[in-house]
Amino acid sequence: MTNNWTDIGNSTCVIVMGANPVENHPASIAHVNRARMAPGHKLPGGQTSNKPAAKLIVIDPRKTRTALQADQYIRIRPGTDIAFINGMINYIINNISGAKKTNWETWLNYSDAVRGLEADDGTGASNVTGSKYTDARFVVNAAQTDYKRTVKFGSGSKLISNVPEFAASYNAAGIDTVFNKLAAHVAPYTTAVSADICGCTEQEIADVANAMMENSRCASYASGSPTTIISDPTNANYRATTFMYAMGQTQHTYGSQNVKSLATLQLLTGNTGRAGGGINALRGIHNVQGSTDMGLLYHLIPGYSANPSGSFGDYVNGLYGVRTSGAAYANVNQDSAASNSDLYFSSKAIGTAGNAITVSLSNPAAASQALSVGVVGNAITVNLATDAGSALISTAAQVKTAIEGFSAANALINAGVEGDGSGVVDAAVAALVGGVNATHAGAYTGTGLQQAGFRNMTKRFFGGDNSVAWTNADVDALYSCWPKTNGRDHIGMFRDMAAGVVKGTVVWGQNPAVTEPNQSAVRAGLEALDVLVCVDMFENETAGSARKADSFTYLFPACSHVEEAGSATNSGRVLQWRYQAIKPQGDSKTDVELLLRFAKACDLAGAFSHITTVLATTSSPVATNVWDKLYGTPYGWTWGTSFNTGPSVTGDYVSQPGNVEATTATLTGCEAVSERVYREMGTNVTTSGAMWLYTNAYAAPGNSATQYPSGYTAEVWTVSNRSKSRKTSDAWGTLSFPRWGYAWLVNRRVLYNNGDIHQSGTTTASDQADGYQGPDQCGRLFVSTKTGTIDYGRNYRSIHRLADMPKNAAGITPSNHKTAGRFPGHTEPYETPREDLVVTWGKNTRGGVYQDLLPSVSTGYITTTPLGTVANYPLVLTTIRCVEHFQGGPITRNNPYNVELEPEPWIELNSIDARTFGIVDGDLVKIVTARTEGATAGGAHLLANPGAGWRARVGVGQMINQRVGQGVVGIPWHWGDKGLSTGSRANDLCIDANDANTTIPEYKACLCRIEKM
Amino acid sequence: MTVMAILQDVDKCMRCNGCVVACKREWNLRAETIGVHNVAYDQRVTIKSQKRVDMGPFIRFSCWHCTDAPCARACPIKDANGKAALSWNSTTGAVAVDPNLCDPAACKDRFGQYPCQVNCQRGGYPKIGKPYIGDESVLMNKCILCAGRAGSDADVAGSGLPPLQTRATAAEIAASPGRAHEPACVSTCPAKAMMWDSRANIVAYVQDPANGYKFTDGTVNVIGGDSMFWASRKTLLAPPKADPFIEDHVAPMVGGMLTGALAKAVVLPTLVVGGLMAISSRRAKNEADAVTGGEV
Repeated sequence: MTNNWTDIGNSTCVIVMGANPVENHPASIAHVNRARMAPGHKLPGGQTSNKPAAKLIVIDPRKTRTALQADQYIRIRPGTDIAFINGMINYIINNISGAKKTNWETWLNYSDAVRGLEADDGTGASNVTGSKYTDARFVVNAAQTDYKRTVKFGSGSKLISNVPEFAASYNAAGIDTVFNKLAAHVAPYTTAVSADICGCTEQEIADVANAMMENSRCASYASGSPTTIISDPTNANYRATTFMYAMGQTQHTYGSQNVKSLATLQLLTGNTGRAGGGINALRGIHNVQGSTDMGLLYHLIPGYSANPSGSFGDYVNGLYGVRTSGAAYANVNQDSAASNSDLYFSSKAIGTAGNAITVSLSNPAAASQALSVGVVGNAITVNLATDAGSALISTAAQVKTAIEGFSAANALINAGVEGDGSGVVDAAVAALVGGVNATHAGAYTGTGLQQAGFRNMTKRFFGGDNSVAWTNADVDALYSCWPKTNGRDHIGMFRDMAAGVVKGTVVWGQNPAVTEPNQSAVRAGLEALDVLVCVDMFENETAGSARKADSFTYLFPACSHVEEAGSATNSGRVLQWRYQAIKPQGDSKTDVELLLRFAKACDLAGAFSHITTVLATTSSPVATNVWDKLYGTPYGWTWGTSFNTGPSVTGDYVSQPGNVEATTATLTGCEAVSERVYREMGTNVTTSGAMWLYTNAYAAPGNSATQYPSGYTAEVWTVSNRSKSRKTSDAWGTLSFPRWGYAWLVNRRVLYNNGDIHQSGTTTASDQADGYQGPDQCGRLFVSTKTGTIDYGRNYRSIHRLADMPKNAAGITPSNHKTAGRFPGHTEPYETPREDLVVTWGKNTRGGVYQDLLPSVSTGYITTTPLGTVANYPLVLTTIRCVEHFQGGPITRNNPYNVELEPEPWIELNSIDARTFGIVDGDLVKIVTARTEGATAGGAHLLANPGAGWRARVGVGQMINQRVGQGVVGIPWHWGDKGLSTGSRANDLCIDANDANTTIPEYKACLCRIEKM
Repeated sequence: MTVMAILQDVDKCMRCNGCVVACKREWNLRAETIGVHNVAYDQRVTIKSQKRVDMGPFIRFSCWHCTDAPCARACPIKDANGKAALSWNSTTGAVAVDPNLCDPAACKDRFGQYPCQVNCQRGGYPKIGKPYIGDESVLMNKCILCAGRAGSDADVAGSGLPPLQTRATAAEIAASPGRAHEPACVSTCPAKAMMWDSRANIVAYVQDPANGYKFTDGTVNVIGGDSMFWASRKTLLAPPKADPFIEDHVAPMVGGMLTGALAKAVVLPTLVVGGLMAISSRRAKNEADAVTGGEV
């Protein structure tokens, strides 16, 4: 979530697209109900609203119970969200008018010095006025791969390299501004075209677009003063639209692009970074936000940092913080003698192999030297000018002028292979600006959030202690212990198991034998494993899966969530402590204890010997054994003592919600260990905190001057473990409740504050300084293909690009995609009933061959996933969830109350299709897809068990009142063959084509047919 | 003693069945009646869809706690003082059963029906079954407004039962002490669709035009009475008179959930206008259902 749950109450228009909060996030709907109160209406709690009742719009293939409560429900074909959103954007661009248009244009054009691009000298000074809110005015380069870049001189002659160029206005004629490119990109999405793709009416697209125009920043004004934007969400004229989305957006081969399209719309309309706005992902489990924060993914480590690679300095340089090499040190007016060693360019060769010309930038030989250019053979040499203190004083522009003004060099350039005469010199200047630096001194000492957090984490994970005065060499040694490659994605992993690449697997709190798509491939993988270890409360389908002869399966008994303690991070990024209600029952153990015991077993088996070896070379070698140093001592557990009574620490204990003062208690067992883990994460990163996102989640009581929200002193923190804080007061009536738990980042309840966020009735400078923390200091509509670190601006971080590309069966990107891959464009699901649209819109790919998003063995692209066509499989199958059951089902299908309420799986069908296929309500039916029936030619694909079938629930009445529309079958996927309630697995049927960027499978759309059993 | 009541805002209910599970957990009721949206024989509260196939609006069904309860009047089993096994309790405001007295085997008629169920005018809320986990005896079982566990601190003191939680603020409890402990169904509701307050406060709340239940034509879109009320800001309500034993999409029970000016004009005379008591005509409706098969 960019905002948070309570903030939804500030909204005046709630658009639910690809989510079903009423059934799948029931607690969230109270906040929607809060927003929907008409002026003066009181909730039972006594709150009143002065804003108009929020409109609730639900856009979904299925008329969910959320849709039943909506003011407007719009049915679309599964997988057509981008076509709908782009249709809205196109409609808004063409139809916004009057004061709203004026405000909107001001928004897109706005720039100010406060959020200008900062010089790269680490001073934080703003040197170039930049766009305040979005990159709408930035200019896109000819190849459409990046912004057009330039070199700029800020105030004080500070040089900033690679600054995006931006035009005088967002829609400057004849200039490829981001907005102009976006407008051209969405131009094909007329309401007629979008309505055809989506299967809705043109009016419905216009309705939602109009609702957004009425409920966005541009409409947030009082009638008398149309250009004064109201930023106070308690004002009667405040307007904001929020999007709530979940798996309906993400579970597609273009899931990331779906989410990007929502972000684009919200940025364009100014709803990002405002109370009651934003795009809000409804997380499926109370702590799933926490699990992704902790890097529970195959390509990330905690804190959304990429898996380490390269040297420590190079890796840290790519993290969010202050750049440790490169442009910061190439500032030609740099006059700090201490860092001169970073400035020396020693024969930096530019040019590709075979190029006759190279330009060498040499470091100054002596103090007080003039800029000079020479030619040696085919190389141009440049000696940079220095002042009396040997500090470089050449500017990049001066270097460029000097080279081009030196006739021998110029002749060389003109005779060279670079016909345009600019490439060589520009490359040289780029080298001067981009620089080369080998020492990365800042990486070991810098205080950039993500960088310092990673440094602390490295010390803590592999050194056991970050209070030791580790030397730089020590840090390098500890860093060498990090695994350096990505793991295997969750779908391909099972192919690798079947192929013998992966031989052992630990499944901790998951049930892939129900949740993963194309189950026959999953079963084949699980069966082939030598060792399978499951950790769960119950024997789930994974633990009970068929296994080959002479293989081992272990099931470790985990306790339930109420039997263990720790912080959970909810969708709104709020950390809240959960106390241990009861001790683990029977022989079950907490996850923390199981993990520490697991580590002990690994240690005893020698799995940590490499860490012992590395530590021996450092200032703090292992005295006893590595388990004690890394796992036992830091968490207060002595091996051999009872886990439930041994560990102990003094900490906060808040017994009741409300404005109660904290008490201090002696915490033991799981409470004590989890408290120590929490402190390890949440302490300020400038001291020892290992989790940069959670910095200051553990801090001394009291309010500090730098806390957020600044100026809010009505309530004071009374606990150190802020996830235990339970103060219910609100800040300025904005539904932010800043002393309830602790939100990352630095307690911001609304991320990407665009400077409009209300603070005590006014917009103050401190609000503005909050700013976008992104590398451009503004929201990005345009996604570049550039990877790695963006090399301007003081606040660095890696740019994670979206790498996908639409292609049709001929391997060509259809011409409907005007800026393909860079702005979201409609593509069809991998199995689609509209093959005609694949020709004109394509399917998404990873950028390689057509349909390369199907899984394969890691050793080569050969997929074994069968695909069906509409001729054999005329219906679209989309997976759904119900309120009674939870995810893969081990918890709810073993709970008698849940099983009583919803004892068996079913399918939803509309009355017309039911008549066509001869199905009546209550019939037992079989659903067939290519995965369950069609073995591929190679025979590698096993015929899956179609199971016991599904009970048909057939809609009655008018089509709009039926759950699913014509041509669609809805199917819940919570069931398997274990537990009190068993039933057919929907994931036997689903396709395992997966998203190009996240590998989330396309659970929401595949083709099927239905047969009466 | 302040008579407390429950108000359900029908617009907010989403049939998550949280109230049903909370009730069963708080009172140790079994979970063993397996069936799609079926209602257990001992279930005290249930949520039913008023339209076809789970499409809402969703209405909570449970005992209204009639002051002069027909079920209690029909109860043939009385103690030495003439007090029936089933009676309205002036202390708790609930129609409650005396488990020591109730004997379903003794009162069952020759058709296998129980007098309390047959005579309930509002949906057969008394249930006969094996109510408690660990208790194999057959007993009548019904909502008792969490008597002894909900209400003011004084109401729960001395009952020997653990008091229930509340979501009310300190100020709200000060204004209405009975909100200090809410019935399990009310406090668990994630949509905050239910309100627990004194009957007088709830009557005042729904009649206050500021709260949206009173339409401009003067209609107060509220049904119910005694200790159970339903209100809606957008769907004209008809009295629930369903038999919770019957699954709604097999036989929809109420046809009166109509919207639109014409429907309103036609239906209004049959509704309680401005008042708060609705009398259902269950038997007549059942006869009509027999003809139409319940399809509306």
